[in-house]
Amino acid sequence: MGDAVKNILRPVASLKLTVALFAMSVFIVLAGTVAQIDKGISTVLDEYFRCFGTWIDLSLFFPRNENWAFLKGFGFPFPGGWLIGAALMINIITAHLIRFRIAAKGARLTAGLLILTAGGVLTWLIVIGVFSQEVATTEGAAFWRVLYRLIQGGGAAAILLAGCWLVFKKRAGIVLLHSGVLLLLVHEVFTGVAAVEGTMRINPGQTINYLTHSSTFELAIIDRSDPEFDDVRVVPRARLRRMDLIQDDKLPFDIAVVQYMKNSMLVRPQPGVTNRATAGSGLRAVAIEEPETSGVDTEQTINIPSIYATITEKDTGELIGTYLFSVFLDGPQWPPQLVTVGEKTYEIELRFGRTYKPYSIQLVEFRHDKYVGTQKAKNFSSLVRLVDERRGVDRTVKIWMNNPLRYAGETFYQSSFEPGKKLTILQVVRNDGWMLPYLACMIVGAGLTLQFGYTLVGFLRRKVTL
Amino acid sequence: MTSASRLIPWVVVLALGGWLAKNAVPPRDAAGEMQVQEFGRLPVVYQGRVKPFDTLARNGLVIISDRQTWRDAENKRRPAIEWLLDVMAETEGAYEHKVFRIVNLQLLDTLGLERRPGYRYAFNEFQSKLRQLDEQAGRIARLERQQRDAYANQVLEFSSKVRLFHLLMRSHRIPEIDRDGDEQAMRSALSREIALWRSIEGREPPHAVPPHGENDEWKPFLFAALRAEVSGHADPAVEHLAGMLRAHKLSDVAAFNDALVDYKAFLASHPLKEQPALGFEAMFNHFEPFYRCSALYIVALVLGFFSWLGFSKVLNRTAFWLMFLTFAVHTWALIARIYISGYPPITNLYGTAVFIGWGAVLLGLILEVIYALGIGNLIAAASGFLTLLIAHFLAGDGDTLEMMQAVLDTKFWLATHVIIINFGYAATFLAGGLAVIYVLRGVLTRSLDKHTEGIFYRMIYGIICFGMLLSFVGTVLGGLWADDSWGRFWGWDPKENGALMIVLWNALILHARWGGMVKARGIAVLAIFGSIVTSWSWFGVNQLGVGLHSYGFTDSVAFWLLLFVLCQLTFMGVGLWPRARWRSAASLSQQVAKRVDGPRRSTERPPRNRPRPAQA
Repeated sequence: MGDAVKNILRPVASLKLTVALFAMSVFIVLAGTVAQIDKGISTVLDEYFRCFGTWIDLSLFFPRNENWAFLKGFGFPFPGGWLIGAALMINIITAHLIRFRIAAKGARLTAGLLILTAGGVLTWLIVIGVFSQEVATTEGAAFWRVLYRLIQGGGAAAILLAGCWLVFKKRAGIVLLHSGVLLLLVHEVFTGVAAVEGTMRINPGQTINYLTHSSTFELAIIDRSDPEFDDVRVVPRARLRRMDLIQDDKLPFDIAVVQYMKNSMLVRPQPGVTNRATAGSGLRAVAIEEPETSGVDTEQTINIPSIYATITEKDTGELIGTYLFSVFLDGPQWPPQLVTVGEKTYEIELRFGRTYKPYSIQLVEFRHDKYVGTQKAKNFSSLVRLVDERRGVDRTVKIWMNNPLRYAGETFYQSSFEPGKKLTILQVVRNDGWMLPYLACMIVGAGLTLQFGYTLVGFLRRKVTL
Repeated sequence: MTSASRLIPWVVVLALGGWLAKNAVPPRDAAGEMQVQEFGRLPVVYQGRVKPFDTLARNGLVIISDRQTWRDAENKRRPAIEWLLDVMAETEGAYEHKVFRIVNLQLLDTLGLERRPGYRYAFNEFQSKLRQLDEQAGRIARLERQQRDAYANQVLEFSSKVRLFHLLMRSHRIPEIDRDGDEQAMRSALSREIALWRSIEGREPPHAVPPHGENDEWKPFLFAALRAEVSGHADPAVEHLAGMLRAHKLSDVAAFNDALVDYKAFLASHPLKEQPALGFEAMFNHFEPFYRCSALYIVALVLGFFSWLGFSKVLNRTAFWLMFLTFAVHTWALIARIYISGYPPITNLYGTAVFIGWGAVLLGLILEVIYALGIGNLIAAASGFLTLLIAHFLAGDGDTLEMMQAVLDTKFWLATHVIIINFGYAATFLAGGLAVIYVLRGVLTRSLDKHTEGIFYRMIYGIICFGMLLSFVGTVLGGLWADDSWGRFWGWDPKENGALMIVLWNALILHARWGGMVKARGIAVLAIFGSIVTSWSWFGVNQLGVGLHSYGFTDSVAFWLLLFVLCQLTFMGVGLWPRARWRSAASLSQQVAKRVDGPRRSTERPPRNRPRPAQA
């Protein structure tokens, strides 16, 4: 590398910058932690971690009461998680580029590079899941399951370690552990960008072929007049939040959102509570806006979004009514809200976002055991039938606490249940980079052990030669 | 060293070892008296675990009285199990023993009680005011947590103590149903007893009656007695227990002991599915190993301090071997907890305190073996004592061996992730503690010379490296647990973030050192801040949901945490005091004589990662 380039890169690679970035990381992590007193985790992720810049309110760090209210509005801008992470990555990479030179020559170098390549290929194969089963459930064997993955990671780490040792000699540990840290950073970026999470709520006997996403919601207008299929039109959350006028050529009516609530509570209509609704379920329930659920909430509740919307006939401009749509209005006591114009009847509902899947899951049985003489859950499990005609899969599997089902790149976890009901709630996650942390753990662990091992051996040697 | 001073360590260690051994022997009932200790070794299920009545008695009494023993009318100390038996059998004594601890003056006023030393009162003394208190408690319970003041919290706490008392009493009540009386009276008696059972049914009563037959479960005594009454099928365990309770109420020693022998024979012929170590647990309870350890840690700490004044070699050796003995007991106690519960050592905050103390003591002793300067002893004794003190305050809620929530019940992960990360906490705290000693010694005394400073530097650096490795691996393993259980490696939740901050801070210290930005003093100041970061992760994140705006701030964890943070910040400030003004400034600037412990001292080593000229 030319000296000129080096001189440019040197400040970028400096350890002073590393230390400053660590300090900033500690601070942003702290801010993102205390922010969870007021806000839900997904909001905090967007505002502090998965962004390039953020604003830190001083009041974040003080008790939430009137004595500290004077702090409101004071604060300062600060780099967000993405920016700090990116700077750390650049810092690590440039530091290795200019500071660590290859210590080997000739055959040793060739051998080292070959082994490194082999280790890299193995790492890649592990990441894309060559060694993982397509349909995998194991019962009560977290140990073997995780050990198997760590052995995969350990194998890759050992080969990379050998390669690094040949190429970088004494610096092998440092190079290796930093590449492991890079893997972790890559994993976090990947998760932030590409991972998908959803839930499946299944009643006993019910079959479900979609995921619901409680982080988002949509207004669905369903035309069930065709016996062959339902014609569903969906209005995404962003348009509801902007309170747009919703018009569609196929629909004989327009929808105007008049109130948008990210989180709400439903109460019975009573004197003193104004009710905007003039038709539908809104006559039996009033939605009141609530603050967003917070990340430290021990109940871990989710937001219950609701909207009020007026519906007018497109041709005549005549008001059909003001309706309440809420994800809470679900279940047998809340029949679908119907809007009829002319001959046609439409069903309208506010629901959590959905992704449809090529497979379906049916709940055969849900079990829930408690410790003797307590209300403490000992375990809960779901027996489900997994059907995927595309791949010819039809089998019954048990999903229980800490023992997920992995299928077709997705993982199904026993997440929770509703007390008193027999329905199960499965958490479904797709994260194609899920093996990365297992690899990174072993790679960094190997690097750290080697590096600190050197230090320790040197230290003991000095003690011995006393 | 003279031969007499050589003997001193052994004498001290043997004497204190004898004290330990004496207390490890479980108490025996005198012949011809009621075999209450033997009763204490009978099984009961409470909070999901089969345990001896002795444990139930001690935990109950700790909640109600803050003590594991109580004092009778003659002010003599009595074991908890006697109190529990009185409560279970509903004797006069149950209402007369002064066990309820009430310290809030306003609450005492409400109850019409006078202040008295010890603040312990009998049920009889406040019984007439309970209705009034119940109303208050009901009102307070409807308030939001933030709106409750200190008095309100005390009312709630006190009424929960009374509820526990009633729960223990009613769940062991012998139904009073006169079989020979007229049918009408019998019916109404039965429905009265059933109503009583309903009033405690939902409150997780102790289950004293073992399963009877294949598909049976543990049952609360009152329930089993009523079931036997209604169905007409006698339950032998109920008969035996009722026999003991009746005999106890009548103070009939012979009948009690006979019923006890019969019940033990019955249990022996009907082995339980679980194989609880009841006798061992009762012995463990009696021994109170963590209490003994904390006493010995104090002795070692005092010895360590005195070693600065003189006789340092003898005192240090004594302290070291005493620490060694105490550490052995501490280790035994950890293993005993594993044996009793069947779980890895850390299942709750109490477990972390006990374990972190153990880890810090271990590391401190290793440092002492390497350097033999007394510093390792001192830091080990101090951290052992402080963590056990913290554990003592965390134990106030009763049984410290809880069953796990289903979400967390994976023994493999409890045994790996939790242990490693808590060892990481221990190391980071230890580095911070060493740094505090270094700073105080340098600023306040003249005893810190260049050589000793170098040793401090190396100790702190080495411990931070170790802490870095453990906290990193522990944190990642935690993420892997989350991935394996919930499909999410990292969720940015407060506890995870806390662990991440420790890793980042340790990394910061190490990079600052490698970059030559800090030397001995700088690394010490940073290491003290490491303690703050660790305490945040250990306790702070648990306070986010509640502590920051509650009125009971002064007796809350948040208060102590804040106090700890302020102390550490003060130490950091002291460390930043200009070096020329330190009292040790003179000895630090002198070159050390030839008694260095190695050819190179790391203080003088060039920073490691600084760019160097290219090698040829």
